Amino acid sequence: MFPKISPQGKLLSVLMVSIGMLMSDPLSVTGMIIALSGMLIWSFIINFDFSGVGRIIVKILILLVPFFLTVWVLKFVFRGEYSTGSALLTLKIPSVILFRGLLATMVNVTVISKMSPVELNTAVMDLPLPPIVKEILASVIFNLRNLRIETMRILKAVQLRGSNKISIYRIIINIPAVWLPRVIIRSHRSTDAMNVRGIDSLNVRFRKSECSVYSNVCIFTGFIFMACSVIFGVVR
Amino acid sequence: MTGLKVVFEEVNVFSGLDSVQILRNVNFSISNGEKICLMGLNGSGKTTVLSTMAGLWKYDGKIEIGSLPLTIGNLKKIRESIGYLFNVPEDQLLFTSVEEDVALSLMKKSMSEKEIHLKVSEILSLLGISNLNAADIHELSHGQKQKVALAGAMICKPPLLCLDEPSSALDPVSKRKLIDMLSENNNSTIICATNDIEFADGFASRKILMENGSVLSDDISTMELKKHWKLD
Repeated sequence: MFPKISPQGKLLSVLMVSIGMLMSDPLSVTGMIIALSGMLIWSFIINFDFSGVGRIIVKILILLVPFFLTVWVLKFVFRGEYSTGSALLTLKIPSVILFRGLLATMVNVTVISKMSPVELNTAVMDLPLPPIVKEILASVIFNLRNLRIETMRILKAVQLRGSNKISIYRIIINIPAVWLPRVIIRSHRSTDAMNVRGIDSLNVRFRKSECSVYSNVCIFTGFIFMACSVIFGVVR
Repeated sequence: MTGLKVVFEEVNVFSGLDSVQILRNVNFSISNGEKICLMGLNGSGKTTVLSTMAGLWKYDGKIEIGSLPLTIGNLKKIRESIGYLFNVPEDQLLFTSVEEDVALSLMKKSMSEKEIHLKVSEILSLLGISNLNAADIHELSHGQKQKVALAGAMICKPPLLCLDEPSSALDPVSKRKLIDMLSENNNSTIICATNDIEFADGFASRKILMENGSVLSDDISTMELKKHWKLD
C-alpha cells in the first residue's frame, strides 16, 4: 500500500521529526496540538510500525521518570518560584523533559532500530554531510555492531560454560580481562586487513540509492513539522 | 602464464613484544604462476610467512615480490598486486553488505557500476553464494564469511594470491569448487597456507613443509608428509 522510502529519506525525516519533538511545547494547547498532530501525520506517511512500541515506551519511561526526583532537589537548590510555587509548578520541568524525551526517543528508536545495518549504512553515506563526518559515523556504526557481536559471543560462552555459581563468578570476574584484549586484537587485525586491501576510507560505494518522490514527501513532512515546532517555540 | 615470482632469502622475523623469533632463516623461491602450499602444523609459521609477504611484519633478510624488493617504499605497489585471504575471514570484511565488500578492489580501479555488478555476481555464483549478494555481513555463518572474503581476494585476478587456511570453514562441496577455481586460475601465483593434505593435493604443484618457523622441506611429497606427521 505504501511506497518504499529510501534509507536516507527515513533517517533525515526521523532526525527532523525528533528535533521538532525536542522543540515542542507541551505546556501550551497549541504546542501540544502541533506535537501530537505532527507525530500522527508523520507516522501515517512513514507507515510507522507500531509493533513493539509498548515495550519501547516502558523502557523510555524507566529512563526518564527518575527526572521527577529532581523536583525535590530543585526545591532545595533554587529559591523563588520553585521553593514557593505550587506542586504543579514544580512538576513543570520534569514533565516537559518526559514529554519531549518520550516522543523524540520513541520516534528514533522505533524507526532506526528497524533499519537493517546495510540500510543504515546507506542512509548515513547518502546524508548531506561532509565526507569525513559520514565516514566517522559509518565506522562508529560498523564497529559498534562488531563490539556487540563480540560481546554476545562472550556472553553465550559464559552461559554455556558457567555451569555452577562458582564458575559463573570466576568467568564474570575475568570478562574484562578477556573482552578487552579480544576487542583490541580484533581491531588490530582489521587495521592490518585495511592496509593489505588498500582501504584508507570506508566511504567507498559504487551504488547510490535513489531518493523517490515519496521519500522526498516524507522528508518534507518532517521538515514542516520541525519548522512549525521551532517557529512556534521562538514566537512564544 | 602470468603471476609474480616470490623469493625469500634468509628471512628472520621477531615478534615485537618479547622478541621471540617466529621465522628462522626461511628460504624458498616460487616461480611465476606456480601454485604452492605451505604445509605445517599449528604454530609452524605459515601465517607469518604470508603476512610478512604482505608487509605486516618487519623482517631481516631479503624478500622479493615480482622484481621488487619488499621495502616500505614498494609496499603500496606490492600490496596492489596481492589478493589476500586472512585466516579469520571476518577481520577483513569491512563493509556492511556482501556486494560492496567484494567489489572493493574493482571500485579502486574505477570501473563502471554495471561492470562491477556483473563481475561481483559472476564470482559469487562461482563460489555458490549468489543468494548472499545483498546480505548483511554480520549475519553470515563462518563458512559464508570465508567465501565472501575469498571472493573479495580473487575478484580482480591479482598476480599474487595469498590464501591463509582457505578451506578451514568450507563444506566438502565448496572445498571442491575452490580446488577447481584455483586449478583453473592461470593468472596468478598462488601461495596457500594449509594443513589440509587433500586440499593441497587438489591444486598445488609443490608443497613446502614448515616446522617451528623454519622450512623443513622445499618440496615434500604427500607420502613423506603423512609419514612425517605420523598419519600412516
